[in-house]
Amino acid sequence: MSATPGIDVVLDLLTRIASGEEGARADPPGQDPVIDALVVGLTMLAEELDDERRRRTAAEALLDDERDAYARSPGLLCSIDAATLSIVKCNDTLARAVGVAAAELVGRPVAGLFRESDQEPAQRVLRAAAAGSPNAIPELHLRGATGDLRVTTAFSRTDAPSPRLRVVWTDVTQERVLEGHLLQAQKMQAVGRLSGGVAHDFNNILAIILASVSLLRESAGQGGAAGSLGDADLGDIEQAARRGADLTGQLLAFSRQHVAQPKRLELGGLVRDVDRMLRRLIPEGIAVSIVVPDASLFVTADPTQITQVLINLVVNARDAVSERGRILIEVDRVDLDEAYASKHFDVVPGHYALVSVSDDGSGMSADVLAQAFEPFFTTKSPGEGTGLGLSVCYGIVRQAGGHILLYSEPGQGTAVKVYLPLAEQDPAPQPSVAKAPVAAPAREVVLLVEDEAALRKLTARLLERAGYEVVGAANGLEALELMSRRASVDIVITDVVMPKLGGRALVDQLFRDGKTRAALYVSGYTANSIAHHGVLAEGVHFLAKPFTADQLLRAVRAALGGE
Amino acid sequence: MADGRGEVTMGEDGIVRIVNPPGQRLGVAEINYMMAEQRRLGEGRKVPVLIDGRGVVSMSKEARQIGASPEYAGLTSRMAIVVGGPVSAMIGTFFFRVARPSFPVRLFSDFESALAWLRSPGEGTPGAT
Repeated sequence: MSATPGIDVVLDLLTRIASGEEGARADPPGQDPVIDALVVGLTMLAEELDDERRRRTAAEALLDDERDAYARSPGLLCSIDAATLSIVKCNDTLARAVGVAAAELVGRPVAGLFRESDQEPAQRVLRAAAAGSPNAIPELHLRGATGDLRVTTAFSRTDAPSPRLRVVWTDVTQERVLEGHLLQAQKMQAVGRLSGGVAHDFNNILAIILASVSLLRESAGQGGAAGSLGDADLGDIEQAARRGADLTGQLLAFSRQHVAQPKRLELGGLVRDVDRMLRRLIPEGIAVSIVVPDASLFVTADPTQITQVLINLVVNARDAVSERGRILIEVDRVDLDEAYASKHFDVVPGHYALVSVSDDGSGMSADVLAQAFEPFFTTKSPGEGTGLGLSVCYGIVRQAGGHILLYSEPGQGTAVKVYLPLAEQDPAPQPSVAKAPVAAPAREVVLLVEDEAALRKLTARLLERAGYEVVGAANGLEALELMSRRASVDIVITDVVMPKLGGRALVDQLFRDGKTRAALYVSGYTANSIAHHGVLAEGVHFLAKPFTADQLLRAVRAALGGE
Repeated sequence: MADGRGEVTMGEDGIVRIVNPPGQRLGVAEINYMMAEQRRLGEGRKVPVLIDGRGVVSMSKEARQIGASPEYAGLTSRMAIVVGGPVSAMIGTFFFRVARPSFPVRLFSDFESALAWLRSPGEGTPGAT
């Protein structure tokens, strides 16, 4: 029994509060006003304690969340002593990135996190920030566990509990690499458009020269006049024009405007087939190894173009190796995943055939590497190379839906990797490509549509001399007007890109009206009007400018015979 | 008195008077009622308030929070609480010491002193009697 009535209620309540009981409450006993006041006061105190306890629990949970977010943040977070610029704390992301445990980083000078050339600028930036007058912050390079990390810096200053800088570094290494790839791709596209346009115009000029040579030679053979030019002169002109045509052809290949005739081909087989030819290009002092898998790797590509890629790469490797060394040509299957694709511009994840050509030659510096695919960029001496080899490879591989990567170290060697998308397993039926002989035409009628008057005239003469009857038109509209007065022709030979009405629309109209049996497109480039991304549909006949008389006549026969 | 929640009136002197009945337990409903009546009588302006707290036997945590809220402070220029014994004094003390309203609050043991303080201009720092 207690001495003061109700004091036991007070004592009981106090005990419950002291033991941390949540919701400890009591009603005043009503026997003594002072005791009642004590009970009321203790009850209110308990309520406040409960509330405080809940606040503290919530604050601790929040703190836990913040600690967790700090540790797991993708940002590289760090607190730095503003006076000494030493690390006070950092998150696990930063610790992992630099390959040092977070606890070990504490106390170290922050400058030590950076690569040597960036330590001074980093200190300058952080000192300015600590002094409250931040300068423009350049991108810096942290010494990462697996290579330098390019980072942007953001920070805030705090004076509690001591003057500190809270720094957030964001790793932009991959971003900058992709930006570089994008810029490079844009540059290559622009250069491609330019070179494609130039090549197209040159092709018209070369076509005129070649046709003129054919006519002059024929005229001379028949006792006619070839001016003061002899056969050797004509040969020189023709050879020069053909060299020009080779050059424009390479430019078109680079600009992906070359007409490809893709087929389903087995890459390992192709490499084995060209092995002998490749070895002929390489001097004896250079060891060539070819590694091809047993399993077939089918891709859809133009075999002539892929052969061209192999030759160009092997020739480059040979020139890099000089007299003694090794060249390795490997074919393999690779699966490129999302992670790989995310690191390389314009790469689609999937199954690929990889052809790599590597050498242990002189290698390339980073500057050379950056320009290696640009047309006419070469490190070779004048006369030793056109600077189109890798450009052509680039254009061909991109046109085939693949991509090409270059790895090189000065003095170590170079590896070029060509990735071509694997084709479906079931072989598609392949159209047979029979070479039509140049048969004597039986007075067949040709509608010749060409906006370049000189070329139209010369082409007409070549055809007429071969026995064809030629009706000419300067563009599609003129051709339709002309055909409205004729029943039909045997074949229409037309340029593709022309003012007023293009070749494709003209041919479609003539076929619809039953005005022609066959069509042959002639162009300096495809402009995608008859070919989808430079790939001809089956049954479409195309002759690339410039052409010789023989090539023209063969193409006409093929078009007429393949109807 | 209104439904056991206390009687709220306003005198010609502009002071709102709140009289709590004996045994009053101040909870959320009671304090909200007082606040609504005070807003109505004072037409939303800040007014001085005289509380007869002698009958109050308890005041819940939530009621104390509302009484010290910015919303209540927006209606109250100063508050005099007349207490009548240890229990009401304890509650009053808790209110202005722990809940800490932002307007001046004083505890009194008689109405005359309380009214004099409410009417005196310029005075009003929070503090105990």
